[in-house]
Amino acid sequence: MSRSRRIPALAALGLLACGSNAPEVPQELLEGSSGCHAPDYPDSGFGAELDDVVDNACFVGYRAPDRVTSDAAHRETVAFSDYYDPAGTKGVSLLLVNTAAIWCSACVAEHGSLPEHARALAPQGLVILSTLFQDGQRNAATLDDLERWIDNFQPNFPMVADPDLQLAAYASPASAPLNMLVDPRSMKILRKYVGDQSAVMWPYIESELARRSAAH
Amino acid sequence: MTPPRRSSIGVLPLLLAAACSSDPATPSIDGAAGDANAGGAGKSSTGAETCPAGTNPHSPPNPLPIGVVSGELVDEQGEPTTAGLVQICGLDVCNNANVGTNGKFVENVGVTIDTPACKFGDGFTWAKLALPIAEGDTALGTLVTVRLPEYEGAPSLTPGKTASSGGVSLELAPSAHVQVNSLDYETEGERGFRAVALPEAALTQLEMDFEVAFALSPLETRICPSPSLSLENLTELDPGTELELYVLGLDASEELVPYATWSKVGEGRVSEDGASLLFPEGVPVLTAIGVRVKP
Repeated sequence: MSRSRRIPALAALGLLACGSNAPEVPQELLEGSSGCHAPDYPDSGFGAELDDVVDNACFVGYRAPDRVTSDAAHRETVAFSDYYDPAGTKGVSLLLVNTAAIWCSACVAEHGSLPEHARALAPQGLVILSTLFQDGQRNAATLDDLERWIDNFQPNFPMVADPDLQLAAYASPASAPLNMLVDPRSMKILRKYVGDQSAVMWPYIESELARRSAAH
Repeated sequence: MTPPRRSSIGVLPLLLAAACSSDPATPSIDGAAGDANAGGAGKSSTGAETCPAGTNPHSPPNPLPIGVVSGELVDEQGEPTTAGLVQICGLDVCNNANVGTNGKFVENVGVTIDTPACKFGDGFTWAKLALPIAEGDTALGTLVTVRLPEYEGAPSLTPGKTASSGGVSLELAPSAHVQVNSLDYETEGERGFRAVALPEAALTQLEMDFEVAFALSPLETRICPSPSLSLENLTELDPGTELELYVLGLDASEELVPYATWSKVGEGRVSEDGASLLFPEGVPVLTAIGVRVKP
């Protein structure tokens, strides 16, 4: 398919199905993408506290940065709705939303170990979605920043930029990282951890995954 | 600040020497892409070779409830400055403080932080330093920071060459591998070597009895084998005086040195002509460095 013929098709995909895995979404669509329209996403109960539903935040980044080159040609839209799995058909048992900033040394340290956790727990249905929101000088993260981050840490989970601080609704961006666990069946917030609270968070995640597996 | 508290300080030079003992077969400079498993701060780059991972054992948890942290930031002339960033950071969480144009900050942290420290200076325009903070409220008083040299004219860190800036010279082995912190320092223009001596007031606040101290940039850049280090003898120490070299841990990954403390990484002496302080074992990572006379 020629590029000129492919663009209209991708545009339609971008409009109709936010978060599709189309590998070559044109830049103009990405920059203008605000409507990660997800008609089946929960439409009420939104909020930022435990048991509230998270709004359908939508980002530009990489769904599988370990499988594609992190460059403009492979950027794609990634939305919370991609991981909304009310019937369990997508295989998502738990969604861990993580924030990071280049200025945040704790985030840098945390990302040294996240791929290992993702590798170990993905088979049980854990999805980590990490958002980079600022650079080393507190400027809004650019896609170049995101790509340098990916090059440095080689995440094996979705990694996106959040220059508009969409996740500031859940915790102050003055503090990082935020780790927020979301139930993919309902998109309700299960836990929020400000900081890398590995000692309590990972045991909780493992127990929750086990509980969900047993219930299934 | 108390002197380094870890009992492992005595073995740090050995650990660091071991960590950087293997000479890559060919010299290289990285900085464009990455290798997550490389050493340093996890900030590295592509290339066939990377510096070996650091072997520093991580600090035991030290969670402390932090209240209000306040202070006033001034430059080397005593003028108020925002110095880019003031952060209350630990191993687990990092908080940005809001600094007024008068240099003052009052940050109501209100959370428990593992190994908390106040980091000030951005590492770009300003030297970055860190002071440990205790539980509860902390009034840090006046914090002195200092401008780094301009990017323009900063020498590159090139294998087989000596890079000099601000009274600091790094002699890189011909086979050296340079692992630039490409995450923070986005462009080649920001990746030159820059150093600045800390003024007396800045030394005093460190409470480490340093004869001299310098801030180096680009921060958290690894060079292996460690480049030998030569410092200008600013305080006119006698020739032959035996010295100790300390580095400041600014990296929460703690691969090379403990976070927010000064750790001894080597020994040296004043040159016979009295012009330089020589540390042939070198410095394993670019950060702030300090020199004491060996007791």
